[in-house]
Amino acid sequence: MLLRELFGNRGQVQRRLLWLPLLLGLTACGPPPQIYVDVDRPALELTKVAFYPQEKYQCGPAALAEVLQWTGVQVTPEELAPALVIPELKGSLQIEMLAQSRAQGRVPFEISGELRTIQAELAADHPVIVLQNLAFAWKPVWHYAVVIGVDPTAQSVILRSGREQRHVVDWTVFERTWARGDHWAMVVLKPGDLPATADVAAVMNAAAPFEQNGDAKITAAIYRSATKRWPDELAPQLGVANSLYAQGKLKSADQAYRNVIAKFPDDPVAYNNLALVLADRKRWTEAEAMVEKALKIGGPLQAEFLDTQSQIRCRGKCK
Amino acid sequence: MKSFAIAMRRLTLAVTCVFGFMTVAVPVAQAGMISVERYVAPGTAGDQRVMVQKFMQRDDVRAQLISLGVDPQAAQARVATLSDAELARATHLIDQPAGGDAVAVVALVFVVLIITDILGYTDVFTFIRK
Repeated sequence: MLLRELFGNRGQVQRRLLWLPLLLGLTACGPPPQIYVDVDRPALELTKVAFYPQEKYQCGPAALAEVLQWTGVQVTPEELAPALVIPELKGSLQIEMLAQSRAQGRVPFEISGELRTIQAELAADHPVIVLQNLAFAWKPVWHYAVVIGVDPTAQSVILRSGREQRHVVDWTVFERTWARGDHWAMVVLKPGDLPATADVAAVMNAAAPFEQNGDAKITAAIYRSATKRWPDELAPQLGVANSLYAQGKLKSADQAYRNVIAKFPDDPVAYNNLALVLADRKRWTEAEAMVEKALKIGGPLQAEFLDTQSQIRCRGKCK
Repeated sequence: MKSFAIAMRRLTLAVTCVFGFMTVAVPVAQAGMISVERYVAPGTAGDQRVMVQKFMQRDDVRAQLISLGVDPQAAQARVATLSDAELARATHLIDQPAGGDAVAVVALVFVVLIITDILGYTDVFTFIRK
């Protein structure tokens, strides 16, 4: 396993196997991987993250249960497994790790694949699920683990992993196994808690599936937090207004869209949505005037604005 | 061995993606409301859902799901929360030109991809031959 963890990819492995007799006497092979790490950050370890010794093929459910519990969801790997494991594949898909987090009422974020990103998330009290390939690129042994600590002094990463409650691994070794998993990493957060490292687009993407699903309370929490962090961005404020509308709070939504328009008068989207709120309130003349403003500004959503206009013109009675 | 083998794929797509979609794909509340997702990426959405749904309703695809140990009905529930963006990833793969390497595939991977490769619709397993 040590050799496997040290080798980077198939080509390197093949080249190195030619030199295997030489290498057997050495501990390091080839140049160390580039590691993006914040060496000035103090050692961090979230010691209170739960631990579930992994049953066969259950590293996905175990890792997810550990982080879900951290956010206050009392769920076990056994409870998660039926929705997370594909029996014939003996594992879990990343996309389902994300989907199952949502099904548990928590918000998953894929985060960027650098160790310093993990450090920043740990500093914000966010344990990080990572996907590693513990073997070779051409014969993968995929594994989910939870990073609970990084120690720049010891140059180590601390994981809840498999059957090991506190697996301490040299960070160059971790980097290689993680790189073979394409540096995939996710945090799972309570609605309204945002990753330390995400940008506004990532947060909007994380909210989108909830918006589609009509989980307006969750989207409202996400968007509200995002407006605080990015007060000059339109999308989170539009999201707050949409969430109010989705909850049937027409008056509040009306005001929220007007706030967006006041701040971003050149963007047509809030005019369109406000027009629909006004239509719902049977204020047809105002609605029509509002959608005309959207149409006048135009842009890639012009076709939608025209639909809105025809809905309003037929007073909601056309199909 | 600190871990057990996980047959998994780095491309994150699911087969699964599929059944749930038409039931979930309700816009914010009223037709015409521009969602944040639509606002952020006005190019996406639309025909993809129909395309993926048709693909997933085929008997051979359903049979593949069952052979992987996944109940097609359960798959529906599992993916009810995928976003347009995630769907787009699935659609992209389904839409690849033919030429899959069925044999290399079976052991490894992941559902939509496995299915599409076996059926010769995609060739996304090149990563294992890199």
